[in-house]
Amino acid sequence: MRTPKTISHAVAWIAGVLLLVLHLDFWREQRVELYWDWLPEELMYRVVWLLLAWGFLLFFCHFVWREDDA
Amino acid sequence: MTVVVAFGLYILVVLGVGWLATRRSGKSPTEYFVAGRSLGPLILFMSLFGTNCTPFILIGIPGKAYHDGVGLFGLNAPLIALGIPLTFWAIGAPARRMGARLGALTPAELFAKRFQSKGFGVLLFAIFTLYTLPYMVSGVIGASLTLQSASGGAISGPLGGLLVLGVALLYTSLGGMRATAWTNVVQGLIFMLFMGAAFFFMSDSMGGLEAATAKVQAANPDLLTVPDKGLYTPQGWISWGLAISLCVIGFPHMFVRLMAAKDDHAIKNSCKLYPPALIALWLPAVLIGVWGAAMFVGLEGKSSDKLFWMMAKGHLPPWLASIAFLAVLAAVMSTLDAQILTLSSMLVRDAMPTQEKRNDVLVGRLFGVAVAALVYVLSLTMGQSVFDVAKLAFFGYVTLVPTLFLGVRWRRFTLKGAVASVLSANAVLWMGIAGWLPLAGFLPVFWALATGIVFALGVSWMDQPPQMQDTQRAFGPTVETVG
Repeated sequence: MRTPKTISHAVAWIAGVLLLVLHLDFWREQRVELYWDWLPEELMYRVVWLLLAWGFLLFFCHFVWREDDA
Repeated sequence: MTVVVAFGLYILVVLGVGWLATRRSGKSPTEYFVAGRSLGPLILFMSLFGTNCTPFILIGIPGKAYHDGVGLFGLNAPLIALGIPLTFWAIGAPARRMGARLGALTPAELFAKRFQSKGFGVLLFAIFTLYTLPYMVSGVIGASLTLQSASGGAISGPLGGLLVLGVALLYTSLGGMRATAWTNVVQGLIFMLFMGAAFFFMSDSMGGLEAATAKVQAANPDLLTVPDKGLYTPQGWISWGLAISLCVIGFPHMFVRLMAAKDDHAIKNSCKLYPPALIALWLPAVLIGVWGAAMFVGLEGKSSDKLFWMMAKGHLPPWLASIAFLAVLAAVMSTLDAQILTLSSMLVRDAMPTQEKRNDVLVGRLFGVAVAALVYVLSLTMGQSVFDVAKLAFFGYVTLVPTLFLGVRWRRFTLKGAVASVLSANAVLWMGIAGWLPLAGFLPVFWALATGIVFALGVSWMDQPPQMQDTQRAFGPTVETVG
């Protein structure tokens, strides 16, 4: 079942703005922490952001992108 | 010897794939220039991604990460991964539909027909050429130096450049867009597989991921956090992010691939693959550069561009190190073939007077030879300075984005608005680069983009609205809304 267009558009806008705020992260404190003893915290943050962006893109393609072959 | 054999095999494979593609190709201009508008999701994604992959990723990124550290990943990869698919949705998909309606085969022709102005097509062609030629020349110089160095001088620089251009021209001329798309699949796979293998073997050779990172921590722990100057300031971060996410849709050789898509579904499915592919490509490239900083201390400025080769020689098995050059060649040729085809198609369709009886495919092939010859001569005469021009020219594509977007999305957008946008944005870009404008910490491209948007909207609003029958011809009978 498809989500109504207005709701999916609103969700996409909110998610898009949230991703932008999370990318412009000048508020975030820099830490020299390592995940699994090798992945720097900065890279971990960006990879998680990218995975969220991938989820956003899948949502966007499914619910917002209207295929219009007129 | 290994290098010559590997290079020979590579040539045979790409020519073979190009030849197979020609067997599927028809003889019409639509078939030659945009593969009959039939590229499905997988081939479309690989051809877009292959065209997008340049030697910069293999050589430039590790070299830059050597100085900047892991911050380089956040500066580039996230916004490319999200920005490129969103521009494909915002501009690429409606451009494909409009191109099919108007029978346009090149980006410049699309907008010339949209605005019913051959002159505007010529203007776009001139700007696309201005920014694409230095980019092509820098690719050929890079490839020829790589071949010369990998073969220990057995293949001289001029011969290497000739071979790379000649092979790309041959399969492009034979099979047009379909041949370039199919060969891009092979080239993209070579590139991705090599990057994966390099990451695995290099980390293994340094004692594993933990040991490699520990070496960086001991040598220069600042590389594991984000710097706080240059492009890493808020203004630099914002303006670079805008530029890097918007410039790709402005590449004519990328834009025309979207026009060759079978349908919106193909473009949409290609977009879904961008984020994981970007992680797989950028994460190893940045980490190789950061690890290299712990292994090879003291490289100053541009000399860090040699880091990739130093890492390959020191940390890859000899058989893999000896064919590393193939990954660079694959990256160069997958972009070069698309550029040759796009520039030659624009020469035929946009720069020449319209003629009903002309054989556009034959003329396109001849222009392809002319474009390749010009690039070759420039690669022999321009020298290293072309790299600086090519780097700045990257921003030039962004100046076209307001016109590309509004041209396919806004019925009220007028020819005068488009001309004003393109000219004002380019004027501001080059004045900014020359240092004639106060930039308040932002890059010149930021102000160029803002100017282009203001002029596009302002001049169009002040101008007479376009005739309804003209917009219906381009946009279709119903109002096409964003979404």
